[in-house]
Amino acid sequence: MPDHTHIEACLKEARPRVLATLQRQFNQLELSEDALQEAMCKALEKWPESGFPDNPTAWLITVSRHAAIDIIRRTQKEWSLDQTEFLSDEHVSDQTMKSEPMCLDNAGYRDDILRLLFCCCHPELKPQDQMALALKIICGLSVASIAKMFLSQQKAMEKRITRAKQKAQNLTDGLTLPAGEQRNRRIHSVSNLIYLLFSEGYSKTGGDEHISAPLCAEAIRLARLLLDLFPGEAEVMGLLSLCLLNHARSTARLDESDNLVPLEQQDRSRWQQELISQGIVYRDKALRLNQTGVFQLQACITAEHCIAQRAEHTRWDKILGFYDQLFVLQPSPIIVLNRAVAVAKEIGIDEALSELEQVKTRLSNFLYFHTTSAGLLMQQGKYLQAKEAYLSALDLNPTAQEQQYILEQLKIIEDGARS
Amino acid sequence: MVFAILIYGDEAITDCLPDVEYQETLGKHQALQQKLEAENRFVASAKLMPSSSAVVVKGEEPVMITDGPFAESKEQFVGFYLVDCDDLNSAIEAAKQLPLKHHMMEVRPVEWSGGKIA
Repeated sequence: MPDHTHIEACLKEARPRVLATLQRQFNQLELSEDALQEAMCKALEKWPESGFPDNPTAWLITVSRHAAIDIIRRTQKEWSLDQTEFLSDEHVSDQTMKSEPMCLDNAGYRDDILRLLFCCCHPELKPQDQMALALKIICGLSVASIAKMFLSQQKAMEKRITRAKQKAQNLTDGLTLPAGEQRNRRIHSVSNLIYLLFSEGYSKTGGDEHISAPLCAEAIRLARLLLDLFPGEAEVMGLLSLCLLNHARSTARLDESDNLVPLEQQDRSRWQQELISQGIVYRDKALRLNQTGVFQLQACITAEHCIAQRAEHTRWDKILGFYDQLFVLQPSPIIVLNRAVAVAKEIGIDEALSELEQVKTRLSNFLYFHTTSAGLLMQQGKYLQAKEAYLSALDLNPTAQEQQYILEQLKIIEDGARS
Repeated sequence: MVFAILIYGDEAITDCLPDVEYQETLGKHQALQQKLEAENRFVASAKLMPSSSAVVVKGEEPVMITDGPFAESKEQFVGFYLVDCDDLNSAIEAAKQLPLKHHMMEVRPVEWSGGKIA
């Protein structure tokens, strides 16, 4: 008989499919979530004794659907009996659950799940609201644990999610099932949201925790879900590859006292080799499709770091080439900033600094612009300018670990000036 | 005689399991592997990457290469052992020592392996 952890894992896995199907039928997020909650409680009660149903997802869909109808009857008087009757003519028995003519292959409801994911990326929602909504709705995390991930009070997070859900609901009302180009756009928006979640976990903004492994793991799970639904999408493979390759190195990014270790000084034997291999396989699989894209190029860059046995083996010429391609697709100052590190290695620090100069005003509020500039200035012995850059970085809400690193660098400069 | 122990499971579900559970699973694999090695009965073992990382190669002239997985099903082929056992029963005994909570095993005799009749 299945134990509790196995059932929980099964419920977590089934959640997006069940919720997406309920949304297609009822189109009320709050209702769909509540109904699923009831069905999951029933599963936790029944399955330990009855064993798993033949098709757990179909079981959950049927039970949630009936729960939803009950909720509608209890709370929404305006729904006439006629309206609910067509939904409830079947009697819930194990027999109907088994014979449920549910179309459970991925193609059957991949657009429903995509729609559910897409409504979390409403353009009017702030990035943080989008992330909170996805974690709540798709991943099924509790408000308390989401609040903890974003260093927010539970009450405030509750309000934020409720507001975001309302907006998302308004959006879904007008959403039809997509075709062709529109589907690609949705996949693109959802990929960006997943990467946003991963980045937030990989490098948290503010607070005293620099990496949130659970957040990264949720993002990777979502990327896998998206790839399962759309197995031929090169950019989704690129996204998963990029997340895996970065995640592989997270173990080595902090030392024993939780200080950040720069890439060059990381103990590469602590990188998780099996994640690197997986990331590289997805990159290779994506590149075979000859549809270049920003996630694939970033995965290529990250892979170069991952395969270098030692920092000095890094093939900066390759990395610079990938950045050049990336800049064509996405001419943003952030790319210029990241590219500058490769320029410094491959061409020269002065060239890198002069390229950074060109994006100075646009990135003046970006912490990493100042830390990167400062690092390069230090190497050139321009300590006064480096100090200035580090001081600007301190004003931009660094995490505790980043702050620690900056203060150490400032101390090195002071000590150097004294001697 | 060489037997294959083929392991099937739902990747998406095992992916949702907590880390302790994963470690427990790993422990059982290590225990079996050590036992087989000590008895000189271990031939090979492999854990496969997720099926979404696979490509399918089929057809002649032209050979078609498509994005995997080969079959869209709940249970995926996730890994295997090759063990040298006297008979079916001892191969089944070996399979029973593997973590069965989230996986199913198929015990299947090997006709030939590594160029030799098994």
